[in-house]
Amino acid sequence: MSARKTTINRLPTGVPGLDEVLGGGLPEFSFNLLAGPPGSGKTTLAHQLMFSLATPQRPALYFTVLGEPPLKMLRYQQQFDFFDDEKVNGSIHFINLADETGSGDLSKVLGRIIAEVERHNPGLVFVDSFRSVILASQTESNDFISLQQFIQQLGMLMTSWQATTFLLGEYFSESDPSPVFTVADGLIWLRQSVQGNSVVRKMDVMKMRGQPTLPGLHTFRISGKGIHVFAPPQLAVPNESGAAAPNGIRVGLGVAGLDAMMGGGLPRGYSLLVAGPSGSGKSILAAAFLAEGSRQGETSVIAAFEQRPNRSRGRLIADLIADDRIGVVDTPGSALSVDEIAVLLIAEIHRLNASRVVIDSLSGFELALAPTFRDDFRESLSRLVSALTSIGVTVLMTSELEDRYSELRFSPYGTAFLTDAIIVQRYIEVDSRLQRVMAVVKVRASAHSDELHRFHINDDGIVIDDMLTEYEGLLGGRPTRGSALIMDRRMDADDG
Amino acid sequence: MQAETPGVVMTLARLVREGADATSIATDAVAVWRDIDAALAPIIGHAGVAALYKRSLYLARTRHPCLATVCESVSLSDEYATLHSVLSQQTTPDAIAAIGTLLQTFHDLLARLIGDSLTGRLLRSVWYPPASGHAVQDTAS
Repeated sequence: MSARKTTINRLPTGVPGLDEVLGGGLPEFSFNLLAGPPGSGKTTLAHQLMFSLATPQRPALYFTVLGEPPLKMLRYQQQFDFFDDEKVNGSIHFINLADETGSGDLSKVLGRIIAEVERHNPGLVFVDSFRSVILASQTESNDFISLQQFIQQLGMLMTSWQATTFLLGEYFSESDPSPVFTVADGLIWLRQSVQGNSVVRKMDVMKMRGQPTLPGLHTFRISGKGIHVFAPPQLAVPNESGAAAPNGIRVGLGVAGLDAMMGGGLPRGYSLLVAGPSGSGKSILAAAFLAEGSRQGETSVIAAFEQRPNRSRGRLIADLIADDRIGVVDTPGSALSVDEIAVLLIAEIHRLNASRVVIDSLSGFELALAPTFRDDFRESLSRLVSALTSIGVTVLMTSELEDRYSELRFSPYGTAFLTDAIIVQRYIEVDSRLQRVMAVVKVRASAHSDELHRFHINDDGIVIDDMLTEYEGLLGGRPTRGSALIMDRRMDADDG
Repeated sequence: MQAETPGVVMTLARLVREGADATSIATDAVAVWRDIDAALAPIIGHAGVAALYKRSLYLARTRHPCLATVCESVSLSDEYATLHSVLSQQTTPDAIAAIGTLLQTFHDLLARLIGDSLTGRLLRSVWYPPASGHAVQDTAS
């Protein structure tokens, strides 16, 4: 008979997104450090974890030291939805260690912690803030136990008492590692990145023993509901839902004639980029795509980054939104990360079981991003598009593209390679009128039309017109009516 | 200030026993403050309780000038001795009124900071002690 290996129980933290970042939850009986500068959200994260995890069977002790006065902490933490005062003095006990810390004798601090742990038999222990303990230890002579001994004894004690423990600390320096770093099983660093007027909160799980954590900086927001961490979108396991891979089914775009140009519609699970200059009709095409989905009994999700989203979409789309046939991902102002919008989009897709997604527009999306994320826009967008298409939805993105008549471009971000299909719209001048033309540039692994069609927009939406076969040089913006006409004009000029 | 919080009203009712004089009321009032300290100090520290106590004395002194003396001389090491001494020198109705105002002021101050609900929860053991609570102990020997 072989002895069984130990299994580490992982506690669901109750903090949205945190379990994914931690690699599946919080290891039970782990000894963790929550570090970061003042105002980075350490105390809020600790409280959210505590109120979520504490039960009568697994009570929590929250030791406050010399940092934030406990009265203020109780006052401000109550503003969050997770704060349940029914738990205070029940499954949650706040204990002030100011008197012991003030003595500068760490053995007294440890003694009090031991006494309270033995008294309450907690499953969770928080010490806020640990920096105060460190400072207190520096004010006295070496007669007392050292900080190193204190941390080692505390770590041993808490694990032996089967308590999952968190030390909250400010001003820890990565370049000057504290002994606590070595003892800690988990190290969660909270940061605030400042660029211009934009401040973005980021979380970094630098260490979590035995856990496949998600590396990198993950953005998080603090709202009335508490902390929400935005883990990068994960690709769905192929074929898990049966819809992850394109399966030959084509979806209609809702514009007569355009599906034929696409070779029979847009393959399901594809991403389509609609690029064109301002006012060319990209959003109207996106609205037609959504309306067609509704006609087919499908639900959709739209992420809009326009100034006035309700005005440009028209009555039909507004009604579908009101009926919850189309979900709208509201973008909470600026300082947004791509991962945040991905999490919001995917949640809304799952809620509505949606099969179509519109992102209108990438230009607005980029503007809504915090400056710190703009450098990584292409990489993040690529991850987002892959994640969306991997769950089987068909994605339409619009992209503002200023007309350049000396070159043929499809996207200002070099995002053309990211998408499976591309439609480009342009303005041309014909007979002193500004007209619109549209062409299908790319449909991956599919035959499609190479025709450049005129189109116009009326009250019903986009109407595809004929080709301008008698003109040439359309993409130069100023088409001419064949070479004979040019010759005539030149001769007239020579005569003048 | 009229005591309105049920817990404060209950506590005052326990203090006002038949034949109680100002000295016995003062002794019982000090016992109530020790209970408050015992309930709150583990959470907000002795210094935190002392700060709230002093602020309550400061606010209540305008209605009961006798509390001004307590306010001026209160300290962490005082252990409510001045409160006992001052209340003992009042008439029984004045001592009751002063302690009632002080308790209500303290309750309201804490409730303004951390909310009615949490305040009620933290002070429950003070307002509603177990049946053998010592707030009404017999001081006659």
